[in-house]
Amino acid sequence: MRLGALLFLMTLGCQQQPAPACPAPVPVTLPEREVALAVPRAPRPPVLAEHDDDAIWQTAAGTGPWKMPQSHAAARPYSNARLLWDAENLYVCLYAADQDIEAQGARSDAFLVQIQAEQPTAPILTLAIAPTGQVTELARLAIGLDAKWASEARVSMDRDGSLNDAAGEDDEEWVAFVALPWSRLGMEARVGLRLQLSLERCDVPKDGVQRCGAWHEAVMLAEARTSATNR
Amino acid sequence: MMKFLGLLAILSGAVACTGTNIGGGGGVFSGYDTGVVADIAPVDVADTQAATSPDAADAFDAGKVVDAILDVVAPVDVQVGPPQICGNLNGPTVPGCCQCAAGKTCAPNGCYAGWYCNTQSCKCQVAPDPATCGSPILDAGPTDTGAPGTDAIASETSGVQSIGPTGGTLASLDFAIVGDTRPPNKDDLNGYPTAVITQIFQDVQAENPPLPFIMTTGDYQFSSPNSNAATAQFDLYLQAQANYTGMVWHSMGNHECTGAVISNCGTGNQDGTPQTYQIFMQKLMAPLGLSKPWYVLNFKAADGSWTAKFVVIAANAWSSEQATWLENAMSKPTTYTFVVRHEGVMVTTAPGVSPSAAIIAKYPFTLLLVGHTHTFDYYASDREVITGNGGAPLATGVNYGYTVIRQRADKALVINALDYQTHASIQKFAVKPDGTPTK
Repeated sequence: MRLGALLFLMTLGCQQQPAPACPAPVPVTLPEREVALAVPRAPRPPVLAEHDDDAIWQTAAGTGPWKMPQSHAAARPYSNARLLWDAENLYVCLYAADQDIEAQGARSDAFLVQIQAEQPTAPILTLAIAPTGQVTELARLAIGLDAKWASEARVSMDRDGSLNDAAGEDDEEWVAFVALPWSRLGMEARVGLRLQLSLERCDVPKDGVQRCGAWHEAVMLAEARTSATNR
Repeated sequence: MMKFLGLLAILSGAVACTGTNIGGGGGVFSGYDTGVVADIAPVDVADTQAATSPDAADAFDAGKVVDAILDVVAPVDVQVGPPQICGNLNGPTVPGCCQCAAGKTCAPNGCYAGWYCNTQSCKCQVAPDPATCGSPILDAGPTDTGAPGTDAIASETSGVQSIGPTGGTLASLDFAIVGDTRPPNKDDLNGYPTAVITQIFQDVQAENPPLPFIMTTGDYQFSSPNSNAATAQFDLYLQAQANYTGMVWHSMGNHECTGAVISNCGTGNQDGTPQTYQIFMQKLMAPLGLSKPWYVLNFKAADGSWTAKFVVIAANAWSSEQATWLENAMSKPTTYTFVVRHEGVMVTTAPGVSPSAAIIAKYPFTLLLVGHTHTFDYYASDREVITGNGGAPLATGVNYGYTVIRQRADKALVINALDYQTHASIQKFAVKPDGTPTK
C-alpha cells in the first residue's frame, strides 16, 4: 500500500513518454541560467503541526496554479505549492483541491516530488506524499537506483474532508506541510543555491476521470522577504 | 507484494520510459530506468431593510425598528430592492462615501436601514425607484424605514410587480446561483480569485433576459478565524459583486465559521463567534437586514400562478433554534421550495447537514441548492444542485462558472450551469416544481 501511490504516479509518468525503451541514464545537461523561482529564507521554521497553517507560509514563494502536463492549461483539480528554506530544511507546502481524498486502492492520492541539484551527476530524489502523511521515496543515481535513500522528511497534514470514507463524502482539500533536511538531499543550503524541482499530482474525482497537474522549474534560494506570497 | 512487483517491473523497463534529468525533458516526470533495486525505504443592516415588514412599516422610529428586527428569533422576510448601483446612488452592499451615524451599524455604503448613499452629496437617502435605474423586473415595493439622522416613514411605491416584506412578486422565477469564492491558502489575499468572481458577476449582469437576483452558496474567503483578515477578502468579494446591479442574497459557508467543516458558530455553539463569523454577519448579512445566517425569502407570480420560497440554512451555525425555525419555514406550502445550504448531502460532518436533512425530508421541495464542493454537479436522486465553482480551487474538471435557473411557461425550471469564460453550458436540465426531472 505504501508503494501504491508512487507506483501509480511513476506509471503515469512513464505513460507520458512514448519512448520504446528505457535507455541508460543520460548525463544531466544543465540548462542555461534560466530564470528560477526565488525561494525566500524562512524568518523562522514553520510550525509543522497537524491542522495548522502557520502564518509564516505567507512569506513563502508560490508556484501558483499548476498546469496540465500536455496542454499547459490550468490544471484541474487545482494544486499549488509554497516554498521556504533555512539552514536545516527545504520547506514545501503542497495544496490539493480534492473531491474525494483517498489513500488506498486504485484512486490513492499523492503528491510526487522530485528534487535534483543542478549538477551533472546529481541524483534525482523522489518522494511520494500521501494524504495520510506517509512518504515513499527513492533516489535515482546516474548508475541506478538507491532505494535505501531516506529523506527523513517531516510531514504534517491538514485534511478538509474524510479520508477513505466508504460513503463517498464530498471532500474539499488536503495540504501537506513538508520539511526536507538538506543533509538528506545532499545539499548545503545557501543563498544562490539552485535546484530543479518537479511537482505533480494526479487525481480521480467522482466523475472517474483521471487528471494531472504539474509544476517543474528551477528554484533558487534567496534571502528572507517580508512581503506576502507571490504567485 | 503485487505492487512491489509492479514497481520492480516498471523500474526494470517493462514500462517504457525515457530517462532524463527532471529539468531537461520538458515532460512532467522523466521516468525511471533500469538499475539496482534494493529495499524501498518507507517513512513512514444593518440594520435592515427587513424593517419593511408590515409591523415595521407602521413604526416611526427607524432605530427602534432596527433594534426590534435584530432581536427577533430569525428574520423571516427580506425585500428585493432596486439595483445596488443606480446612477450616483450606491446601494447598501456597495461601498460609498456616506458617514455612518453615531451608534448605528451601517452597511458598506455608510448608511443603514437599506438606504442608498448619494456619492455626490455623500448623504444617505431612501432607495430609489428601480424604474429610474432601468431595473426590468422588480420594483422596490415598500421601502425604507430610516437613514442617518432621519426618522423616516415607510412608503410604498406602486407597480404591477412588487416585492414586499412578506413576499415578492416576479414576472418569472429567474435567478442565478454563485458559490464558493476563496483563495486556496489561508489569509492569502494575493491569491483571492478577484478576476474570476468579477467576471462571474459581470456575466450574470449580462444575462438576457436580466436576472433579478443571485443566491450564493457560501465560502467567500479563507482567513484565520480569529483575526480580521477576512475583512479584506470580503471587501474584494463585494467589489466584484458591485458589477451586478440586482439583489444578492448570501448563505453561510464553513469558512464563515472557523473554516473546518465540523465547526459550528453562533452564540452558545462550540465555536462561538470568531472574527470570520462576525465579519461575515457584518459585511454580508447585516446589509440584507439579517441578524441570523438563516432566513427565508418568499416570492410569488405577478399573475398569481405560483409561489416560491427560499429556505436558507446555516449548517455551520446549527442550533435547536434554527431547527425549530426550519421546521416552521418548511411547513408552509409553496409551489416551489428551494432549500439553500452550503454543504451538500454528502458532507455529513457539517453540524447542520444531517439534522436539517431530516427536517427537509418531511416536506416537499424543488431543489437543494448547495456549494462547498468546488465544481458544478447535479444529483437528481437528491434533487441537489452543487454550484461551488465561483473561484475557489477547483476539485474536478469543471471550470469556474455559475448557474442560471429560469422558469418556463409550463412552470418547469431550466437549470443551466455556465462556464464563465466561454459561456458554454456545462450541464443543462429541467425539473418540475416538485423537483422531478423533465424534458
